[in-house]
Amino acid sequence: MKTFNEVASVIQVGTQRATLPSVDFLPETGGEKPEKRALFLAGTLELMRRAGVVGIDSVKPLPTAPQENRRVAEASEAPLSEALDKKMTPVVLEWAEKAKHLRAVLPPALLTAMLPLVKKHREELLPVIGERGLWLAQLQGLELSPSDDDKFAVKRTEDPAAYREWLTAEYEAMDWKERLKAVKQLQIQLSIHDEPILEVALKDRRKEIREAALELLTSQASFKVAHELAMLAAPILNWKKSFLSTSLIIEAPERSELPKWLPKSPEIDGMGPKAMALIDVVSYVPPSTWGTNGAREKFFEHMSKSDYHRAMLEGLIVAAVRFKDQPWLDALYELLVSRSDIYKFKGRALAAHASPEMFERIALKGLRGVEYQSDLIVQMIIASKRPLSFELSCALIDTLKTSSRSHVILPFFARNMHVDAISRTKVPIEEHHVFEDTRLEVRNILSLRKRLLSSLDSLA
Amino acid sequence: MPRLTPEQVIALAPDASAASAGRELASPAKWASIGESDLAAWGEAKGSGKNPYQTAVDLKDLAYKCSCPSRKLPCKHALGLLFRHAKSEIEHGTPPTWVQEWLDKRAERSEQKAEKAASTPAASPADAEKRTEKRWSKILAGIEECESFLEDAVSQGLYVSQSARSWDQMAARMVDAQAPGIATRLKRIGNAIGVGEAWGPNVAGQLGNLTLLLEAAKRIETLPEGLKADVRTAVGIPFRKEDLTGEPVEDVWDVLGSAIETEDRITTCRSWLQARSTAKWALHLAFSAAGQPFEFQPLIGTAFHAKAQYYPSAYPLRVHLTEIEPQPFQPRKGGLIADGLEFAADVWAQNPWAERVPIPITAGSFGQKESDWFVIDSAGRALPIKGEDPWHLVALFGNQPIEIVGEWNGSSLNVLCSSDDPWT
Repeated sequence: MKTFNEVASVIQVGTQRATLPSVDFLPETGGEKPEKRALFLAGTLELMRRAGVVGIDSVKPLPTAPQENRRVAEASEAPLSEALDKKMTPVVLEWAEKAKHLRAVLPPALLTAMLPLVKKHREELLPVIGERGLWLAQLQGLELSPSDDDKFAVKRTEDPAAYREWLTAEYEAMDWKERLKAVKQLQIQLSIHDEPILEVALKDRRKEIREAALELLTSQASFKVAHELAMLAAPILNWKKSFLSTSLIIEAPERSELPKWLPKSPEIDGMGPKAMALIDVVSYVPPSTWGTNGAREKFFEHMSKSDYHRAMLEGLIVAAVRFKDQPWLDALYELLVSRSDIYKFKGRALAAHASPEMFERIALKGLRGVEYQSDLIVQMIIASKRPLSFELSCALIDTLKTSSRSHVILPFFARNMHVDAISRTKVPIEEHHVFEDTRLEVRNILSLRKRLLSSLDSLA
Repeated sequence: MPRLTPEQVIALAPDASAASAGRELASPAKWASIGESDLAAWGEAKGSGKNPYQTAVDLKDLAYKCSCPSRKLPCKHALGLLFRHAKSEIEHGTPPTWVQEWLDKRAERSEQKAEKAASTPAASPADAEKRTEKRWSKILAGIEECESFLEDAVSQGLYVSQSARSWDQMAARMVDAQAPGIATRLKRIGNAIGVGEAWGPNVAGQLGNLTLLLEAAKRIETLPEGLKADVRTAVGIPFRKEDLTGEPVEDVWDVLGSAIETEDRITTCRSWLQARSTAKWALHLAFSAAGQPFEFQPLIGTAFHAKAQYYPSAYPLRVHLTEIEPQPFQPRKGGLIADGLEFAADVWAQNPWAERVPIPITAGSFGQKESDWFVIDSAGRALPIKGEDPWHLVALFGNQPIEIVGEWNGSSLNVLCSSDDPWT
């Protein structure tokens, strides 16, 4: 082998520059050109090298995989492979959600294709890669261990008091990203005992940490900060009742009256400093503060007459999402969609938060042309990214199948449609071939999703 | 043809999307009518158009017919039909007229071909000898030119010598000299210069092997018959199956490995077969141009009884198969790497131009050293693996010891097939 490599080196640099090694078992014939001899030597030695290979003994096999203690979703292999090939990540995640509930794991043949996706969608996919997946990831040097968020969450759940003490002791020593993650986990079993450390966080150098602390300090009325904000909010709404009518006067605060820890909202065109200050306060106060006794439509009507109605609305939208106040979310969503002439596409911000019933009711009315513009509704459905019911899926196909944009929109929706809506795609559309192709594409996506989900049925 | 498995149907698909579309068409709802006989499977696939697509598959020779506009071969409808056939979901019946007509036409064409071959008067030995002499003198002239080219290259050194284009030009001259085998080797060398870390020894080995071939071709008359045949084949004068005269070996052949490669627009399917009674190896080659299907493609995991006629060689491996009858697959256990290497050494001792030798390894696992991958046997011996890393196999079998069949070229093993079922 050594001689062969020497001859190979000579051939590489040329016999004009290097001399061939002497090889005893292949004597020189005399008068032979060095390049000719180099070629013969290479041929002979290569043959000897090839025939003389014995293999090497210094390579250790990789460790073997641990036993899989969960059921392998064998039947999912073909459709899942198809979804991975077509890079249909939402479809894969939908399968993973169902597989996770059934304690099923991915077929090992798909692990190499799936692992890069696990890095991006750790929370959804880690539970379905099983012992074999974790083993393979470790062999490949992929970092799939729990994130800091998870570690902190576990610590907080196990012993909130100990976590609080630990955070108080370590707070200054942590870098800001760690501080942010640690403060956010105080939301687990949040109590009045957490107030001191949250107030420390409220004065942090980093805006992100101050905002995280404020979120928590405004979430419970017993905190001083929440109380202070409630006091600031109290004079904002003034109902004036006369013999014949009731009117609402909105008093916006001056920015100078607001505490320094209350962050400023991003500037909005057409809003003055007082309107912006109003948004800042309203967005951190629970919507229930405004005491409408459930008559929100009436409240909106009165509100609309105020100069500050847009600012009030902006604040209410943020607050409804922040405090997850479902009746307010639904009422605001309905208002924004029904008055799209004023609010344009503002309802998009709430499309994902409206209750399924409200979302469905408005969407169906819009698609059937009863109320609302169907374009607006399509925008809302896109923004919501939520799974669509069978009825809504069918209505979407029926409404959009001959739209000029159907080839773009329908396949996009097919990832969220109810899989049984495939029945709606059976009827051929005897029109332009683009619609026919769209129908087939939607059908293929729905069919793949249906096959993927039903491939888990035997494990249910 | 034995009944295909779904995995084998996937292997027939021209690409992944055709396989997936075919799998989708394996649902009964997609077919207006369907049936099969011993010779063919057929069906009417519901498409987007008014009329269903008429699809038929010749199960004996794996030929396809479909009225759909797809250019893929087999198309998704043929694959869907084969998936259903693989799952034994099709009822036996009498072929409809359009299928029978197609089968009859195929049989007719096949008969015509055989008749034509039989009726073509064999060239007189004197004429054939004259033609061979003429061709050989052309080849010898080409060889002389090629030798000068190689010597120049080695004299100047490969770093500064001719570019890849000049190797291609020399290869083209060898095609003109009617030595396509030498041309292919020249192109490979030109493409290997400067590629990869170990290109120096790799290229030197190929250059040396080509030099031995050129020298052997010049002295062909002095060589024993078997080696003479190997030189002819390596130079690029293949034997025609009609000229094979050896006694056929009748046995059941298990298909243990298969590789498909495309070079110069010709796709070659190499299938490694093992005789059940003697464990003798055989190599079946099938060729196709421009995406056409192979005339016969033995599939891994199938077996058949057949007469195998070995092509002449100092170590015969390539075979021509006739009278093929399907049989259940039943391969024997592989061995240690040392056994495989001994077999390889034996082959190369007799035919230095054999490019690959099959090596079956029992209880093989995978290991990594730096960035290189290896197959390791139960005795702890390891061989490097060619091409892509085997992560998918490691994931699939959890690196438990498995049966592996690979092609060994003297430097790396091309893993063709692996299974966690111990072969008995």
